Amino acid sequence: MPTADEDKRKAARETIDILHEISTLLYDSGQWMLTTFKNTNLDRHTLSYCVSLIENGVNPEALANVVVDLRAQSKRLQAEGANVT
Amino acid sequence: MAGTREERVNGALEHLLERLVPPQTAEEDEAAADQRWDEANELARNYLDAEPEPGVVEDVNHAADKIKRQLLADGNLEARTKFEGLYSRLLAQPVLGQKWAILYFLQKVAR
Repeated sequence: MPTADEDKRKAARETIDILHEISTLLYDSGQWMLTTFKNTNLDRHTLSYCVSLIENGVNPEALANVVVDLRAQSKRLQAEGANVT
Repeated sequence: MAGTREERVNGALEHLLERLVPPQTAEEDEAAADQRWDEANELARNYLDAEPEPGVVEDVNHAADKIKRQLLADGNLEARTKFEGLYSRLLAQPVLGQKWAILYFLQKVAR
């Protein structure tokens, strides 16, 4: 008989799976449209930290700005590295 | 969940930045990489402190409708149908308290 803790962990995993599918859906839709959505596809770990932040009261809009901005910076850094080599 | 809310937020934010901020590159010295990390931390703090409260209706159906409308606008009917199935499964999950905010976040990151 699974304990309450095991049930809760299972439910948490299932929820992250659902949210990851939604994230992938939005990413694929963006790729399909090439303009509307870009760069949504967060990996599970990144997504679970974002969920934890939001569940602890962080503003989803502000957090989205953090993620979009830092990913853009990361892309620029990779591009600069590619130009150097 | 251990610790105070602030400790949990600090911990999760640190982990998130570790995934979003690239490690030291071959062309970079340690000081430059450290500075990049500090700047990323400052950027994240500024965003979160500047907008502590969401500027939208805290309504899970509203957030879901925005995603459906966006998928419809793409003409991506298959994706929209799939989303509706995922959304009903999400509503049935007991563990999340801020479902509207997480859907809103995913939609905002996508834009």
